[in-house]
Amino acid sequence: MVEYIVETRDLTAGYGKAVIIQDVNFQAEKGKITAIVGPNGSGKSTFLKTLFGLTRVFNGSVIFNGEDITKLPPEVRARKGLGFVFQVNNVFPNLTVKENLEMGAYAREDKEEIKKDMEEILDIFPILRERQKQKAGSLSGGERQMLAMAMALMGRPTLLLLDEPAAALAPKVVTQIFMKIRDIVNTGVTVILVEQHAKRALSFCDIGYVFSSGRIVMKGPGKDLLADERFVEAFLGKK
Amino acid sequence: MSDVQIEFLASYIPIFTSFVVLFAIYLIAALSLNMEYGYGGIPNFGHVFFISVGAYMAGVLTARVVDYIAGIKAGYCSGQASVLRTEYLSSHPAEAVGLFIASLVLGAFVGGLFGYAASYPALRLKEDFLAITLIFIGDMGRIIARNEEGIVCALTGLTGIANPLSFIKDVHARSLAYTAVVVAFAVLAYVYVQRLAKSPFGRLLKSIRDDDLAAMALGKVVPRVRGEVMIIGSALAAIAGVLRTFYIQGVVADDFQPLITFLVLTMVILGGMANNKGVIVGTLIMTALDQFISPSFLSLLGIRVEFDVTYMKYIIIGLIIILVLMFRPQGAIPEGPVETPALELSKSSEWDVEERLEIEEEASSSNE
Amino acid sequence: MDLSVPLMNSLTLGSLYTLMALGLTMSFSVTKIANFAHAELVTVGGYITALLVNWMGYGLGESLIAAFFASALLAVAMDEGVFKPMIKRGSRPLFLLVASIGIGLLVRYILFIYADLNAVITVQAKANIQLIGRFGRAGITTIHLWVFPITIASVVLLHLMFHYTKPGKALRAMADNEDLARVSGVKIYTLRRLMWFIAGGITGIAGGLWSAYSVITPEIGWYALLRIFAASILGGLVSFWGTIAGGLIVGFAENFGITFMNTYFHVSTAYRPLISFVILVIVLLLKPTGFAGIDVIGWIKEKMSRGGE
Repeated sequence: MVEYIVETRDLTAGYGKAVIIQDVNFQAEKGKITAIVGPNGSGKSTFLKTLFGLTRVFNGSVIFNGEDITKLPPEVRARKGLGFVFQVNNVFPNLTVKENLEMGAYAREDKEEIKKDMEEILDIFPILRERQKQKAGSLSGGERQMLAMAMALMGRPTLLLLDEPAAALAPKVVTQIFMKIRDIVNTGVTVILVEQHAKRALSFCDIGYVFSSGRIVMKGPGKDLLADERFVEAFLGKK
Repeated sequence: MSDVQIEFLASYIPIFTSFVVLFAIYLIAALSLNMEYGYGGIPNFGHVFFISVGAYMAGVLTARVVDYIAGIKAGYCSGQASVLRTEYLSSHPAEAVGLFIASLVLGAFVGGLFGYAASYPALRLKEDFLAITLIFIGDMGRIIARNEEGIVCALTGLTGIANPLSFIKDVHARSLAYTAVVVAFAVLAYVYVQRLAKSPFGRLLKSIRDDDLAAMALGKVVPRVRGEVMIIGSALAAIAGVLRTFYIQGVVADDFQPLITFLVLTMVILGGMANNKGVIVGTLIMTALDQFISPSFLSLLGIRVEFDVTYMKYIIIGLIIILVLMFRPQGAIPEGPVETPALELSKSSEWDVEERLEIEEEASSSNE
Repeated sequence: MDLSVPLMNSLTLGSLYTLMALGLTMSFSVTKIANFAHAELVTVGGYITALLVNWMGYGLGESLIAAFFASALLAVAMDEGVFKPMIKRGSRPLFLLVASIGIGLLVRYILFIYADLNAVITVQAKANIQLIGRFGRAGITTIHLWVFPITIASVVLLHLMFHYTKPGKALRAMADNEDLARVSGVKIYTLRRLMWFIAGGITGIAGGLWSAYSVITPEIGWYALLRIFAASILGGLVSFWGTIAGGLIVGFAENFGITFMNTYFHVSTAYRPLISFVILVIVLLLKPTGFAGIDVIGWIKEKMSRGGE
């Protein structure tokens, strides 16, 4: 039996009165990388945010480790082991880098372990150690992305949601980020990521989901999707 | 009708006229605020200041001119001068009406000038900070006026600004006549504001108000349009002030507190922003509130309260503001869609819906 | 020219304005609401203190504590009753401002009715004020012994709370990015209530001290609102140290400024508010971030670290 860390059933959600995603049936396997791709406005980001409770759910459910978390607010989901990295506005600009990392571990109680993790993280991301006392708002785009990911890791999540982690970053930095993601997964964290760059995401992930106009239209192992003619024509042709 | 019956009806005239005059003056004020805030998106919460500008202009112009022409030697603020002015205006109808018209023109002009000046902060401040600044500008105006004797006699107020129709000797006829004049102005104001709202200028206003992106694309047009809105709105507000001065036959700075702005704002919010018909409804309700929750009216009904009942009025205003904003922010009559010539055309049955869909399908299939 | 009297007045008023403005700085930085009903938090604190001292015989200290709780609860009620529901429905900051005006009217005039019925439209807390010493020609009284320490303690405690405690940092995080705070596990609704409680409480104490210092009316908060906004805005509406600077500047500007204008330009003392207004407008138009935008220490550090690269 495959273990799904999170799944959704007939999920329909959006903002205010607007429905953005409809009847989404999604599963993410534990320990794997699941990628969500699709054109602009297809609802990928909204879906990710819905997993964390940041949108309005009209119908359906979100199940995490067998528990129905549909009605739980984000701050409670954070304590269950979910982590999120936003695409933009993903750090606290007026807090220092160190304080940002502390906020990442906000939901945790184990002070000693938090200290250890902080040291580890600062080792993994040396730039952050250097800029510890600086306000996060003064960091460059790439540094901020790193800080955002480091913050999420400080929470020791079991499931990490990444919203376009490579957006607007230089290619060299993108490679670094994806390497880090691979490292994180190797420690046992499940990753779901939303990506604009379909080819890159699908060659990197284990399972891929393709969104279009708020619905899932294709799914399968990343390599298979890339080889699929229909997919290539429909989504890679349009660039 | 017997004499007794006529007299009975006549005793209700003052209540009737004071309500109608007040309603008309408030309506002009509310329409002007709706223009600035509802349509233009400028939260001019210092609005009462512009009303006061018109009121002061009317007072200063009339008093100074009459003092000069009639050779009144008594002090500008003295009771003697006031009596003499009233006497003069009552017996010189041409001058009285002339000064009335001149006050309207001067008031509108100066009001418009101040309005233009006040549009500058609007360029640099976000809306809530703009509101804060304008509220306090309004109050600063009052503080200056209540201190400088030369404007409207500080705390005692300027009096003797007689009703321009004072030549009509019968009190009831006079008040009815002036009521008609004020109502005429209110009607004119409404027609003007409605036409403006439906014109290209009105649509431009709304698009600037609603869409920051559109505003950025329009660049230099925005400050100019904002300036125009403030000029028009403030001129109208000033006219309301002029009409009020001649009605009360005097003017005093402390009458123009920020509370008045909030009262007028409630009229706009209650009725529905950017909707002049709604503003009429809102103004009607709030004028009724203003008139009927007053010690004099309640005593007429035989109701007496231990405390100053005006307090009750403001509690109700506060409650209305909160409740409307929380539960029906669009107001009584919500804003309608932007009316363009294309909208008018589409309303006609010339275009059959199915026909249009067919054309669209053909067009998209020919692309593939 | 003996400056001791205006100096003492400036310091006292400046401290009182600071205390009143701290709560506004706090609530605005976290919720972005320009709360006009903040005025009523001052007034309510003042009245509770005056009434307890004059009619129930309590000491000033206990009455101030009561004022703290009264205004604290009122502040939480305002948020839970009006602001929070409106924000959940997506209201703009301007509408929240207007709603706060409505709340202010409501509270102020209920207070007016109460005051009218009980003949306390004007009242002053008759706390046992004793003359302790002299500073030049100015008297130092027990009031000063209350005002100065409380003001300094408040600023220091707030700074410590916001920079060294978990809830404090969480509040700053909420001010920066509420969604991110939530996904980090911050219980935003609980912290919001805490924030309003503390902000309201401090403001209540400010009102209470004011009622001991001078006569108050139900409009006292509204009259002070201009100074309170000026002081907060000088602090950029986010910085506590900026607020104390702002409060003192307003206090000094009004005292020395008006004395100066009066002596040399024969400007009437009734124009005092104009000075605060001018300060407000200048800061808003020229440097809206106020003192918060001037990070001297950070600037120095940056210069030093860049030099090392």
